[in-house]
Amino acid sequence: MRKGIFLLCFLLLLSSSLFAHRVNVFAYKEGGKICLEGYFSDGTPARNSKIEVYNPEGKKILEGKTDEKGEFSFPIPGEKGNLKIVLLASMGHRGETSISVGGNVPVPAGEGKKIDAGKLGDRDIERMVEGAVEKAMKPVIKMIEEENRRVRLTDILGGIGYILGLAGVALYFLSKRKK
Amino acid sequence: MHISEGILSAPVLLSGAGVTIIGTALGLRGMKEEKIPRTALLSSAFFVASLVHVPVGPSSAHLILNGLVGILLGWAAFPAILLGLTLQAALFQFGGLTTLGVNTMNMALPAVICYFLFHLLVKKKSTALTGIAGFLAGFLGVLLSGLMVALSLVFTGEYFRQVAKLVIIVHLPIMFIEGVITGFIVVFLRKVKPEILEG
Repeated sequence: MRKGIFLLCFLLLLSSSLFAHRVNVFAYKEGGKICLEGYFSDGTPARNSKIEVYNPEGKKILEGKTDEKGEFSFPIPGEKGNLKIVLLASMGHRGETSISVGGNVPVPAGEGKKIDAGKLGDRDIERMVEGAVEKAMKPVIKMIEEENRRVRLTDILGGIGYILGLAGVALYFLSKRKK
Repeated sequence: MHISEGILSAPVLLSGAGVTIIGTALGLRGMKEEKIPRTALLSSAFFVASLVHVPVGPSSAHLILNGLVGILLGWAAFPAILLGLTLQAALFQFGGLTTLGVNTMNMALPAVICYFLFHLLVKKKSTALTGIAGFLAGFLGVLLSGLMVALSLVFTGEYFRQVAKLVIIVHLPIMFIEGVITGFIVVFLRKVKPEILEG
């Protein structure tokens, strides 16, 4: 029994890079396009993986494949609502994400064009601000995604605790039955 | 090895669940009181092993340890692996709850096969034989699991040979590593606690 616990500790030590093995898709808008990045949880890109994009009504509107870097991009469609993006990697791995599109295409920020501020309507300003915010938020969203895919030590210990607890319950009932 | 949710069709999911229910029932029925701590321990080992990644070229794979679980538990590998996978799905979003049946079948059935192939050999007098049997169990456990994953994916339109080749190539290092780990553990157990191998 004690040796088994040693084995368990050994495995725990080995798992220093605590990532669950699943495939993630990360979607962001940039320059009038929706860009996707697919990667396995240890950071390897999901190459040559099938991408499917569904509109808010659940109809497939686009299909494609990621490139060598696990990336894929397509122009923002005119739909309004949440686009569902599914990535199908090899060996039965599947990742899903969604991104909201507002119907109007945001103007990419900092394109370097001189715009006469006086001629801008409310709508134009809204679109420009949207574009700028999206650009600024990208690293933040990515950071949150990365944090999410980490496996926490508490989860691991919790899982082991569940198993041992269940064994304890089983033993308790068996010992009662014997009496 | 973990198949995600939303890929397999209902018949595959249901047959996987069926096999898992039968296997788990068999495993629980044959489980004596003194075998419970061991089952729990190996279930935890299985649960943690999946976090140990081995980078393999473009992809990466993780340990499974189903050969070890099988050779030490027999049919009890089913409940042990089912429990481990349930927790992996709940805590790490590994695989998924609907694919639990299929995933358990894919990993536990090879474990049970390894048990029947090697459990007699492990008990043999010579340490070398024990080591070899352990190695083969670890190796074969992963290999068979890979084939079963490929088989489950056939019905989604993927070609068996293509997927099987990919799964096996990616897991080739894992097979060797698990073979060595299982071999060492079995030899070790034989020296310090031979009665574990009797069960």
